[in-house]
Amino acid sequence: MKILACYSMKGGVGKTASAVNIAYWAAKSGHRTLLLDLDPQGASSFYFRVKTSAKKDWGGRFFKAYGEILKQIKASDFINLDIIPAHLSFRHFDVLLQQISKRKKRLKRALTGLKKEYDLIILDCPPTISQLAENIFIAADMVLVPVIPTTLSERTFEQLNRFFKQEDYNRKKLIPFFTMVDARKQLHKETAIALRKRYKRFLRNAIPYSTDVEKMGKFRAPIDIFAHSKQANKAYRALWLEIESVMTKV
Amino acid sequence: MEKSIFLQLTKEICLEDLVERLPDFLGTKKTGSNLQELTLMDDYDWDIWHAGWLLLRNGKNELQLLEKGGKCYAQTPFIDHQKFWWDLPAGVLAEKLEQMISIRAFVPKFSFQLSTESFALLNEDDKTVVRAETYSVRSQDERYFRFVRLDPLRGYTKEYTQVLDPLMEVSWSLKHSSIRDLLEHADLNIDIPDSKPTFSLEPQEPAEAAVARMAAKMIQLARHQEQGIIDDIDTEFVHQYRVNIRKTRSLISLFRKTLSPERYQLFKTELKAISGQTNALRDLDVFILDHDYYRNLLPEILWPGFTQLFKRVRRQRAQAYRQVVGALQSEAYLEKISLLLRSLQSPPELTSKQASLALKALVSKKILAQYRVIESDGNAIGPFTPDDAVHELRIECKKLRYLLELFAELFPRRPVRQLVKHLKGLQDNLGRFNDFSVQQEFLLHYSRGKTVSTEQLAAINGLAAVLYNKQIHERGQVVENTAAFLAPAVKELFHQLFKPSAKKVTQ
Repeated sequence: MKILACYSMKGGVGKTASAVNIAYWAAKSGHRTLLLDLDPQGASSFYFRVKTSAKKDWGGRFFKAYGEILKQIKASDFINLDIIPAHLSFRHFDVLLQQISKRKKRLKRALTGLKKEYDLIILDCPPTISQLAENIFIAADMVLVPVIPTTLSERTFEQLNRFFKQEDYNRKKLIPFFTMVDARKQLHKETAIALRKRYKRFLRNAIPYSTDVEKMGKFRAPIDIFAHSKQANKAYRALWLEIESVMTKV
Repeated sequence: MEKSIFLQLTKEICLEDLVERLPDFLGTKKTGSNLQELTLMDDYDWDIWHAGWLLLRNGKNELQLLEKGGKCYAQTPFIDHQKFWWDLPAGVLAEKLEQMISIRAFVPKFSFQLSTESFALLNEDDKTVVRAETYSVRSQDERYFRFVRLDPLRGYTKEYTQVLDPLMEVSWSLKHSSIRDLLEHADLNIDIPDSKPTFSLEPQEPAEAAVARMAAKMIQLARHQEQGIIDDIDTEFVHQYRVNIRKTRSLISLFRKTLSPERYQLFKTELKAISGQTNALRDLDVFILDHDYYRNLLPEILWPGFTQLFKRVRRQRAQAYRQVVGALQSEAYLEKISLLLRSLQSPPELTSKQASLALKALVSKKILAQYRVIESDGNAIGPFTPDDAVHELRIECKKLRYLLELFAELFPRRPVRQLVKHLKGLQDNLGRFNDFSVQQEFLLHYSRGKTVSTEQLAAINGLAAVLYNKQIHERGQVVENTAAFLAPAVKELFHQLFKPSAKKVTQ
């Protein structure tokens, strides 16, 4: 079983859209996939029309009882793809983790129990650097980082990279890729070229800026369902294939 | 998590009724549909069906072979005249069929229409919460049956139960949902014969009645093959026909003392005549079936002669076939058969001394006696004993085999099977010895006549020489195989199983 995190310290970079479409393509190519929506806002759950649990504070037991996690799994409308929808109580994860021992490895441990059922777990992460984020960095085999080729995003990615170095996390786990690329903008081009030079691990496939990504909210489905032949869909498919080939090497 | 459930609907219910039974808050979306025209194919004895598999021809002229669970094992294009595995393109499907039906032809058994529709049941967010699939099986006589499969989705157990409960009122659940299960439960009047017929024998019943009943049943089994012979579907029809007649003859001859002399004489004469009318056809069939084997025994230079010979054999086969069809359809034959059956169905005459003996005791006695015959015949055979003695031994072995098989239901299954296995080892050896000798005779018959070309003669003589060598090789093993069958351990088994016990013999 492999664990992929879709993570960015910065919001609004296409993190959830990426998690949803990557999960969709992974399942479609035959991997038994679980999408875990760790972001209390629950955007990826919304895209898959999966409602959040009515149980009040189930997040409080997330790191303690494996059985609790199993109960929360919901089938998506697609074969091979299940979802654990976000819960508002997830916002307390940091406080929770503060209170328990071996706090950095708790997420990894909680997910290990799922390896019989799934080939792939995809984490849609909240945009914070926190106790939970560190758990994610340890649990994940690959941390996919969406980066808009702008100065601000560039800066954020550099910060993340530094943080990994500081904390002595395996920097090879960090796999950045470009999102919301506007080929007409000179700045996008230049930033992209410069970043690719500096960070060799950037994926070759990039996601273009597209209204089809935005329309996911309207259709509540992965792009392939409502815009099969569009550019953005092809880009996500190509991105997944590249991730899949990198994944076999980690 | 809940498991998929497969329901057969009561006949009155239609699809619209089903939708009405769904909880109000659920919407439905059709996600797919499929209509297939299917024909179930099998050989005469339903060997594929009995093996748990299914051979289907679909509307697109393809043959599909389905495994036990219903999974498609292989698929191949299909043309109408194909009926043997060797007619099909080489591949796994042909190979598997060879294993299951060997030299038998597969023919259409039953045609039906299978329509499948898939639905997603949606909640207020248009999220799928249960999947459903409906199957309708419709036969040509317009009987039809409906099935529904419900697949639960993880995390939506509540919705699943809400859908299932009202459906349970108009259906009953089945274990699986393969096409085979559909056919089995659809009650579509498919007439599938038992894989092996039994005679419902009772240990204490009077022997004459039992023998008459068995003979009648076997003659009827032979008659079931007649249409297949006339339609020339495959060579097994003649073969099975002959096996049944031969077993009947053997039975009558072994138990002649249970019948009145007149009755015995009638059967002996008539059955011999009936059997005889298919002799030529069977010999020719056997040769044609082994075409490739024979040809490969010869060097390539002799193949042209072999091809000429083969053409002659085929012509003769066509002629023999016409004669058999004529015979089977003749008034004389039908009268003969009905005379025999009438005689068998009439009340026991009880005139002979063994007529009212208890069956099991008598059979046991016969089996032991037959073993003793083989013992004395077998012990008399050395490396240089004339062939006639070997042929005689073969015939006695065959009688024992028929005894063991025909009356198997009276005795414990395992030991009988074990004895048959011992016997089979010897029989195979003797059978091959006989076959090689018969084949030489058969071939040499074709070397007579003025019109036979030199190439043909060369092929015939070549084959005869090879077959003679093979016969000698088999002859060399007869003494050893006989000794194995007459070994103390086997003998002991026979005595244990069939030794007479005083209380069982009743008047």
